[in-house]
Amino acid sequence: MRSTRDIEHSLKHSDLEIDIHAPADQRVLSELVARHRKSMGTRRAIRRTLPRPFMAKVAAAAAVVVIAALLARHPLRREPAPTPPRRATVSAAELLTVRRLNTVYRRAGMQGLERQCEEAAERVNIRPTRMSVEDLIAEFNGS
Amino acid sequence: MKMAPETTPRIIVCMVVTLLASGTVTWAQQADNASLLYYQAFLLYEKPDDTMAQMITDFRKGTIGVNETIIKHIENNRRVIDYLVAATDMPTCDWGYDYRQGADLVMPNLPAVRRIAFLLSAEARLLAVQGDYVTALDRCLTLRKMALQTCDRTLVTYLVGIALNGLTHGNIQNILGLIPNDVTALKQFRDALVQTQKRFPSLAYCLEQEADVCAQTMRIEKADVILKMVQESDGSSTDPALERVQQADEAFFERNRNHWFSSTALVIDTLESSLPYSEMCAKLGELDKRLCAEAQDNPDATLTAISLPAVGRVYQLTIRQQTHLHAVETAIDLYIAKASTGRLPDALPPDSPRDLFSGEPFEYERTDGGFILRCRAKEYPEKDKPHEYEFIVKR
Repeated sequence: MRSTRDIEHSLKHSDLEIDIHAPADQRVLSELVARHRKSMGTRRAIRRTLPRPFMAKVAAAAAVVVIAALLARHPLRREPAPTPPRRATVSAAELLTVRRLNTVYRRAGMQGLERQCEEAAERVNIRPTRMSVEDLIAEFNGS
Repeated sequence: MKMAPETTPRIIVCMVVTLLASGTVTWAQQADNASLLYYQAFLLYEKPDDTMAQMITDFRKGTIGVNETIIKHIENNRRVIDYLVAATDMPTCDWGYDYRQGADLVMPNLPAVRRIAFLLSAEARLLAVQGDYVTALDRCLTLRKMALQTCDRTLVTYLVGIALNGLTHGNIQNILGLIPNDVTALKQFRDALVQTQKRFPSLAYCLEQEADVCAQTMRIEKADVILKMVQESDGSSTDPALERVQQADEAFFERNRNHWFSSTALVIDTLESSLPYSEMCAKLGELDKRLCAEAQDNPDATLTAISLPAVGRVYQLTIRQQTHLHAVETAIDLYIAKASTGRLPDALPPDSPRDLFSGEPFEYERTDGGFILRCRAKEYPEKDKPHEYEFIVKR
């Protein structure tokens, strides 16, 4: 007999990923719903004739099917959603290269050049608002 | 060979002296380099928030009067101004650019230069408003010298220099209206202004320098930079330039370098010809089109097409800036005449500087508050009407 530890180990290393195929899942569900509706008419008559324990078993089986279907549609492990493509960001240094500045001047003239300089200046403005030796030492000491 | 025992200490002493001497030379060179003061000024500069920046812009342009906030901002940056004034008095300014990087070279000082120029411009107006017009005019000269020191070996630095000159001319135009009748101060200022203009490099010279810098990029080991330039210039993957650069060998780059130098030489020759403004614009426009179009069929012209700057536009900007300066010089002559005789002259002196758009003297119109100098031809091809410069005369 396998120990609890063995079972835990094999669970951890098993591949439990569910293969998801949305159109197929939808088709199975649609069929289930159609069959369910079709059988609605006959179900009431059967219910009257069948004993209570049998009804409970059918209800449990139906619950299992629904849970399985839900799990298939909303699995516990999912593929990561594709992230929206990020807008390419350009560093301040890149904005200030000769080639970039020349290009922007060619496209947008002096105003474009000034805007680009201003944008770069906004990004590289690392100078603190207060500059004292005391503050600098305090920062280095982590206080 | 074995050295005599007494030789070793002598060698050590010589080495120490040499090291000390070289150290002294290096320090002396650093102390003469204005950029070191500029970089310190950049670090000390207290940037205004958006509201204050707008207020300072309005004040510079004369649309609002002085207030405590403006004075406080300028005083907070007093040391920055001191550094700038000291820097512009230095004979050399080496920004430390590594031109081997070619078109990939970064110029981090340019945004900071612009910002502190606005500060200096605001201080110049403040000084004039407070009655210290001699120092105010001196600050305008400081701005002109800053423009000169900013202009280095690339066309972009030339453009920033031109922009600073434009800012200064606007400043002078505003400040002249606040100055009382002081013939000596005005004459001295006019002479100094002309001197700074004489030292400002020509567009042709800057283009020649730019050609050398860009050629540093036209090498197989810099193909990645060229590829970036292709993508930035067009962004189309179907561009023939992209494929050509991807497959380029050393011979491709050499042929392209030759084409680049011959093309820029052609543009420089055109700039140095004495064509009138409108003809020069047309000629530069035609050259630009031809050189860029050539790349479609001629692979050797590929790098010229992506590296050639908008020379026509830079030329227009240069002429606009020089014409504004000529208007300011003409105006100073009129202010001097007013200071000497007590009234504005009826006409401009015959040797007054020209409007470079038409090649003729400015049109001069006296108004209730002062006078207007108007160009006789409009700027090609964008402007609806000719430029005009309004000057206020203090009563």
